[in-house]
Amino acid sequence: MKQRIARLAMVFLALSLTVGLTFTACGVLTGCASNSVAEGHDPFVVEAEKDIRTAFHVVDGFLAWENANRAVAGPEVTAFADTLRLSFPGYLTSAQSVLRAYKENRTAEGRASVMTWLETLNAAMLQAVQHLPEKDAKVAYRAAGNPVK
Amino acid sequence: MDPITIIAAVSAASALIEQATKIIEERRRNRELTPEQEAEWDRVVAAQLAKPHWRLSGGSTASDPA
Repeated sequence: MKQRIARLAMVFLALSLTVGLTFTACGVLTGCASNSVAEGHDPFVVEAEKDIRTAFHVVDGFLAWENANRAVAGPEVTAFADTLRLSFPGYLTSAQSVLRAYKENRTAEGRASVMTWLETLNAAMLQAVQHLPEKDAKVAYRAAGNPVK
Repeated sequence: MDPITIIAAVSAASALIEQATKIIEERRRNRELTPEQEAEWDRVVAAQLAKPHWRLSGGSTASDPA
């Protein structure tokens, strides 16, 4: 009887370790655990902060590309890049300011302002991608988390 | 080994695994930036904006009327 209990216990231990390690490895290595928002954190804010970072990285990357390829990019691309150099830092500051204000008071008006500035940033980002050569645009689309068309 | 000890060990291992899984899942969840992280992000942006590719194509002479 004792031996049977011991055997059952060993089987249970092995099973629980296997299942536990599988779940742990799943979460750590493959990202199959839910990618949700932590408790007490606002999904809208989390997404907005991500969108701002993505837009900045894409525009920053586009300007670096244009700067390095000015000779072949063409005057229209350079003119657009200069437009972004002038306007985008202001868009970014505004988006971040309204988002930080929203984090303080969480009002519907504040949320609407954040949405407006996010749309502006997003439009600038998409225009930047459209000015990239096709192969670089695909890389930028992918980097921004969008499906490649 | 005493079966009671084995069962206790199994129970402790399960509890430990459950706890570890919860911690890992919680760490994987997205969260809002803290004020410190916002300040760090501001530093990253400022550093990038200071780089040459953010200067107008005409460089420092872009606003020069001459």
